[in-house]
Amino acid sequence: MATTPPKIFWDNRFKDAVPVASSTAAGYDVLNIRDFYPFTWHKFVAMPGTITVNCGSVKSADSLYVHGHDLGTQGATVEVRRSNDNFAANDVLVASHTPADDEPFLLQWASVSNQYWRLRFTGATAVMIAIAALGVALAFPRYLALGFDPLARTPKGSNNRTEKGHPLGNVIEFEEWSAQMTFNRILQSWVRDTFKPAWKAHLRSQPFGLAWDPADHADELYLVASDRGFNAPPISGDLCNLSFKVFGVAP
Amino acid sequence: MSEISIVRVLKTKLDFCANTYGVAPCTASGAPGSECYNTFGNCQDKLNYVKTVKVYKFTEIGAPIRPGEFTRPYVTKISKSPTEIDPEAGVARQANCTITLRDATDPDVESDPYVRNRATPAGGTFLSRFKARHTNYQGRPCELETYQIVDGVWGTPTVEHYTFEQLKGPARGEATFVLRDPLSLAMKTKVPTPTTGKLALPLTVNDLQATLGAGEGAQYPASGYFRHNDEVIQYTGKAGDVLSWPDGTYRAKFGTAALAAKVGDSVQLCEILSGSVATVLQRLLNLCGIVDGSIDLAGMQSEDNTWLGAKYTILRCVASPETAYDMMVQICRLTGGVIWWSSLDQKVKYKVIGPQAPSVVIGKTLTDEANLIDGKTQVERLDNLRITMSAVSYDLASAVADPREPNNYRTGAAAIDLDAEGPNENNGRIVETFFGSWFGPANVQAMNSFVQRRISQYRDPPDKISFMLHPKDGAVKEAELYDLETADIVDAAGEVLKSRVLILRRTDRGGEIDIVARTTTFNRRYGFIAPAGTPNYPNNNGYACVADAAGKMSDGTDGYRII
Repeated sequence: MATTPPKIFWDNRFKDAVPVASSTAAGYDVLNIRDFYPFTWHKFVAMPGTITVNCGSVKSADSLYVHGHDLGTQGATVEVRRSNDNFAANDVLVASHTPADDEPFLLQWASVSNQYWRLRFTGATAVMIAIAALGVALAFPRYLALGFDPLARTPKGSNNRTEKGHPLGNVIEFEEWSAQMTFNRILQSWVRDTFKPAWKAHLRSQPFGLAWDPADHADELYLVASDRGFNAPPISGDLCNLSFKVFGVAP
Repeated sequence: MSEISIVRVLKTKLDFCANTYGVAPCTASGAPGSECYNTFGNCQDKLNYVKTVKVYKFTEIGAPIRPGEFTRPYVTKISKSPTEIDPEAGVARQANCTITLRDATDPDVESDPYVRNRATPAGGTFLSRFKARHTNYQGRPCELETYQIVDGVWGTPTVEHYTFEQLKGPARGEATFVLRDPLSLAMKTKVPTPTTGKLALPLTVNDLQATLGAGEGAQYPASGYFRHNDEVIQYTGKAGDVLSWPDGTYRAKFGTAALAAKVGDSVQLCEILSGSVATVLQRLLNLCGIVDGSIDLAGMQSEDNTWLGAKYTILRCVASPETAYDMMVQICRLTGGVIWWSSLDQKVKYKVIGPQAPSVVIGKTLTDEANLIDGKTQVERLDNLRITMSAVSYDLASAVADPREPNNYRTGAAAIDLDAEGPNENNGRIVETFFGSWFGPANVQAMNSFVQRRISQYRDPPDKISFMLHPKDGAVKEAELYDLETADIVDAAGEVLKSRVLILRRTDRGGEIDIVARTTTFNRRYGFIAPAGTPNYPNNNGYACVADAAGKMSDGTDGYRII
């Protein structure tokens, strides 16, 4: 089971202002990295490539969630950098990662704050990226309740055999992953002050990243959307049971 | 066994301006944020609009998306009614495809070139804005690509081509795209083009010119044929609103009589269709707006050469507007052919339904063992197609005679199979009749051949076979011939009978492919005249050989019929 409670990645410094890319291939606008859609892309023309944002004021970040990229294929490295002078004299490396494949990945660090944030990509070949969420993760204060299944998947497709009974195999269209996220005995104040604002700002209407165990299973990342609402019926004292359903494509 | 995934991608190719707002040649000069969306409907400088194509791609919800692909996973349902070849109808049933998409919010980065300048984020949803901006979607090309991903490797897609017909919605978060095949244009096209000219002066039986109302001459080409009342006249000159001809021999054409006409009588342009069947079909398709590049001209000509030839040469004056579709139906039925849009090959094709020529290569044998999916095979004998006599009336008395009236034909041809009518077979006569308004006295041989072929093909009715294939057999296409071995078709001893079938319909459902086929039947051994050097029977490679005086081959079997 999980060694750390789940985290949700929706907060994004690249939404604080218009990000600026060092180069952009035609049709691959850098604005696409912040829409949480895995089918809209930014692509550099030249490497190293940077995506920089001036947040307007000091803002925090403790994680980078990337979904949809070809860094593994291109053998590229991503660095998270911060600055207080738009990377003139002050340019601090926060984290870096060289993915081995093109699967979604997560970088985490102790929260730090700055006005300027940057992703810097190095490597020989221009890379592309679909989603980059650089921000403060929504960390749940409790573990998921029993019954949560990170591995279950429901294939959509068909299974056939010939008239003589020989199997022809499955034809898979996609595998859906859905889960009921239940957190028992959670503070009502946390739901009111932390979860509900995130819900209203993003989670109820837009896709987001989910790590069910960001420490030991940081590679099991899901790009999901919420299904309808959430429930948080009060139980004893100032506690409640928070639950909501998410669905997405199984990784 | 390989793991197979199926991904379908819809590509809509819509109009989009190549200009950048306010940059020459675009002279629009609105303030930042008030730019157009690079589509004609909201263009602020229509004179300098430069039409190019913008491709929007959609795929099914959950489908994998390749890096760098802007493919929106909005599709919830794809319903296809593919082309179905119908040998009795002549023109295939047109394919259509209905695609249901779920609408979604979208930051508009892909669609709005000036998204950074907008003072407020785009409102609405992706599809609602798509509809508002791309008002001229009708008739624009669309492609439905089906990819097989085998063990993680994307294959080359099969591509079906359609035109965008209708956009329903979006409403309640869904929209529907209706796509059709281009042959549907034939239903909308009238041949000849309806004209509205009327005589401005009376016309006597000896006049050499016809004067139309002011400005009406513009509807008529410089020369051609026109009809007034029940007379067809050939004109060779046009001056303003006056159509003229050199002498009286240009009057009373195509079996009509010279007639006087009064002021106000209609002057309808006629269409003369002449030449080989392939030439006439090409002309009709061109009149529908289907260009030569979208017609399998070589295949059409090959079918004409193999099965029809000079004896089927057409000369017809069409004196009243009819739909091109109806005309193609008539021609196809009278030539034993079918015409259809092949969405995979992106061509209109024509094929004569007959036994295959020796040169035809049979795709492969599809069997219960290896190909046909369990529980999906159905066989139906098409008894309603059985005939013992076929008759055709042809040589229409005049271009203005009603082609649906038997008495308006001067002659006819008939073939009867007396054996089939005998008491041990059908015990009676089953007759089919045709009106051959496209053929005249020069087509005697063709019409005699036509009825003989009909009897040979339909004295014993074909079987219609429906079955389902796995995507591994996805190369099967309509109008191709295959051999089929299924326990549902056996001989008198109960042994599986290998049947040669013609594929009539192919419905790609992603995970399975529905097939409708028909057995090819011909009541005798047939043959084509062999090229020089072909070995003698029985090594004759399918070509005809001369039988003995009793009509038998050297091994005692029946001789060939040359078709």
